[in-house]
Amino acid sequence: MDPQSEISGSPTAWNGITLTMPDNWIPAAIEQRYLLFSRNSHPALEIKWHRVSNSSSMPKKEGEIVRQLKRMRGFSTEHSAITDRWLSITNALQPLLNVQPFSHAQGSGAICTHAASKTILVLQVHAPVDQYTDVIRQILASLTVTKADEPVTFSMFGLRCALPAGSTLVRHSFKPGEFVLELQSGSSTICITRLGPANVVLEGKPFRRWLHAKYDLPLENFSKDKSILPTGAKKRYHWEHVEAPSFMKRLFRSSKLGSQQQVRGAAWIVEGQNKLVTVEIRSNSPISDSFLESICDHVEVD
Amino acid sequence: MWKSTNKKNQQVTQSLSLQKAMACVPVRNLLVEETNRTAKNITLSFPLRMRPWFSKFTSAFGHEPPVQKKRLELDELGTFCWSLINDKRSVQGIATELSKTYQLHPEEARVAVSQFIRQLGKRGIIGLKDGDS
Repeated sequence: MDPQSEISGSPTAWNGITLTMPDNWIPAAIEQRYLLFSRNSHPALEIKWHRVSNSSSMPKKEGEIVRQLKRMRGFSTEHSAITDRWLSITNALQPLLNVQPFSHAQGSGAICTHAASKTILVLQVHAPVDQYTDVIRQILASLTVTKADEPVTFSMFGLRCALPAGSTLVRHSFKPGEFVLELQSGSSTICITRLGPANVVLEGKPFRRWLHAKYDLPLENFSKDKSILPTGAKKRYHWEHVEAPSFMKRLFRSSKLGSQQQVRGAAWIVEGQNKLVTVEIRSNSPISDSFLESICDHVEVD
Repeated sequence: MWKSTNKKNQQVTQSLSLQKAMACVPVRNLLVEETNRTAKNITLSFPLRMRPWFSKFTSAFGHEPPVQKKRLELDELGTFCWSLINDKRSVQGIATELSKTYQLHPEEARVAVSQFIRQLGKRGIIGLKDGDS
């Protein structure tokens, strides 16, 4: 395939960064603040990022990163060691990020700092830069970093969501048939699950009965909501209950661990996509309708 | 990656690119029988692979190694993939069909089918032939 024909792609967003990747550059490794894209089962682009709590810590963190990178064979930030092509590509990042390109024996990279979000990114390109100049330029030109006061967006394997600013990713899993994102937002834990294919997941059971079996709650707890429907859904069920702490947690009654947990959730089937989506929020304090709605409104699947 | 033992106690590992692996064509083991077939589920009955040392042990005492059969129940998606194994369709072809029929993300379908094929291969229910041949 002509490398230049790979430019069009779909947006990928993960825990504070967004970029448009060609369709055949597949996320091969996904961690909390790390993405590795592969092309034809070979590593192509690696992005690792770090957030620091205050701006004064950024030079220190940057120094740590440089020290780690220096362990790589042939690592150099010298102008003479960096190819003109790679230099011209990284220049495209300059208005948004402060860029320090580098090279090493295995490829090229750049340390980028985004002062507004106190983020330091380490980019490494493993694909041959000469062959994929325009593709890499376009990918890096599409790179954006979420500021601390902006919603945190996710768009991965057809699951898209935007969560309140300051949310931090706690857990994620992308198994065939089950995608899970769990985030901490203030005192609340938000768990978004995308199951599919919905008709197989339900095993012929009515949706409400399936929820009853899955969450092990009385059937009456699940009520139908037709007033606000997510995109592509014909009906939505929601539930709420209070979960008493376990015996072990009760021992810590004075701390938050030992207190009762408020649980609210919503689930719907995106009919056109044959996907089942659930959103569950857990908190020590009461969860408002509007909070649950704001989360559900920003979950989409395709 | 696949492993083959061509010398005793020596494993030779050869790398197989993702594209080549996905182009391989699964072939059903002729000894596998389909039982309890319904519209959405199927049970496969297949001969249990005997450990070579056990076969030698029974043969040494003048007995034929006992034929043992094991069963594997497939769910709806497994049954669908099994029905697509026809000695012609590649692993990628099965993944594409699964993705289209059940509206799965192509990457999700690719991983699901690869895992399914690997599990069937481990049990000796299928073999894989080169997609180009």
